[in-house]
Amino acid sequence: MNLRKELEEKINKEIKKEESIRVIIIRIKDKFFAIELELLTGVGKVEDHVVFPIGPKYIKGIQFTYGNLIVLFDIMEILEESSTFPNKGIEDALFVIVKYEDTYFGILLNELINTKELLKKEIVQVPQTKEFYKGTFRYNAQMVYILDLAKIIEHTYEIQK
Amino acid sequence: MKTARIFIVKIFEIFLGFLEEDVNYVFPIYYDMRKSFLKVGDAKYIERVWGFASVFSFRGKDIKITDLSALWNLNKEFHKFKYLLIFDDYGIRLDDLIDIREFSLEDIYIFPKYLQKLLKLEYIWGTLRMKKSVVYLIDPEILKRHLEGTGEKIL
Repeated sequence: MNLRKELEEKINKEIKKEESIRVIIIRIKDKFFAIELELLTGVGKVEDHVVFPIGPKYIKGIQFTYGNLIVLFDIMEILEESSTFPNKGIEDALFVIVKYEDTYFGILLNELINTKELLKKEIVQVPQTKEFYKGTFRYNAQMVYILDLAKIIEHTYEIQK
Repeated sequence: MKTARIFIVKIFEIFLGFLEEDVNYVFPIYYDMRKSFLKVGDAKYIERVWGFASVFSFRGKDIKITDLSALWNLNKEFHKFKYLLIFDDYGIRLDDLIDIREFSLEDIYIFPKYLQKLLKLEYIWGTLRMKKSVVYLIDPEILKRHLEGTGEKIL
C-alpha cells in the first residue's frame, strides 16, 4: 500500500470517528436507553448493597465494587417518577458504572442489550421538554433515548433543594 | 502499612465511626424524666447524663448534647439512648458501642462527593466496609460547624 493511500485511509477513519459515537443500549422496564460508552467505567451486579439510611428514593443504596463505592441510582424515579427497583427487589439487578464529578454511579437496569457505533446523523434531536435526553435513534424497531446523565444528576440537586 | 484506630458506634441501625483521637469520653445515659429537663443554666448541678437533657456538666465545662437521629429525621418516637460520646465540647447520644479497632487506610473508602453535596453530609468523610453493612466515618469538627450552621438548638 502506498503512502498516499495509507494517509487517505487514516484521514477517513479520523473523520468517521468524529462523526460517530459508541453507545451501550440498555433496557429499563419497557424503555430502551443509550449511554455513551466513553462515560462507562464498568458493569456490575447488585450484591450485598447497603440501603442508604437518609437518601432520597432514587438512591437505592451503596455498594463496594471494583475498589470503589458505587451509588446505586434508579433513573426512572427522575424520568418518570416511578420506581423500577423496589428496595427489596434490587438484589441481582445489573448496573452500568458511570463516573461523574469524582462519584461513581451505578445506573440500575433490567437488561444490557448491545453496543452500537452510532453515526451522529442517525441521532434525532428531541424537543426541549425532553431535557434529560441528548437525542433518540431507532434500534431494531425500538425507540432508544440517549441519556444526558450529567443533566439528570445535576437535576437531583435542584429537587433536593 | 498506615492504619487508623477507629471507634465504631451505632445509632438506630446506622454504624458510625470516629477516629479514636477525636473521642474524649463515653458516659452512660440515665433516664429520669424530672432531671432530664434541666435547663442549660443548671448545668453546674448536673453530675450525670440525663436522658433528654441538652447539656451535661463535666470538669467545669458545659458539654452540649446532640441527637443525630433527630438531625436525620430517624427518631420519630420515644427512644432511649444508652451512651453519650463526648468530643471536645459537645457530645452525641448513642445506642451502642460496637468496637475500637485498627483499620488499614486501604480499607477506608472516600464517601461519595455527590452524596455529601446532595444531602449536606460534608461531615461524613469516609466509609468502612463491614459484613453486610457500612460504617460512616464522621469528622466531629465539621459536624459541629454543620450543626451550628443548620441552627440546631444544641449548638
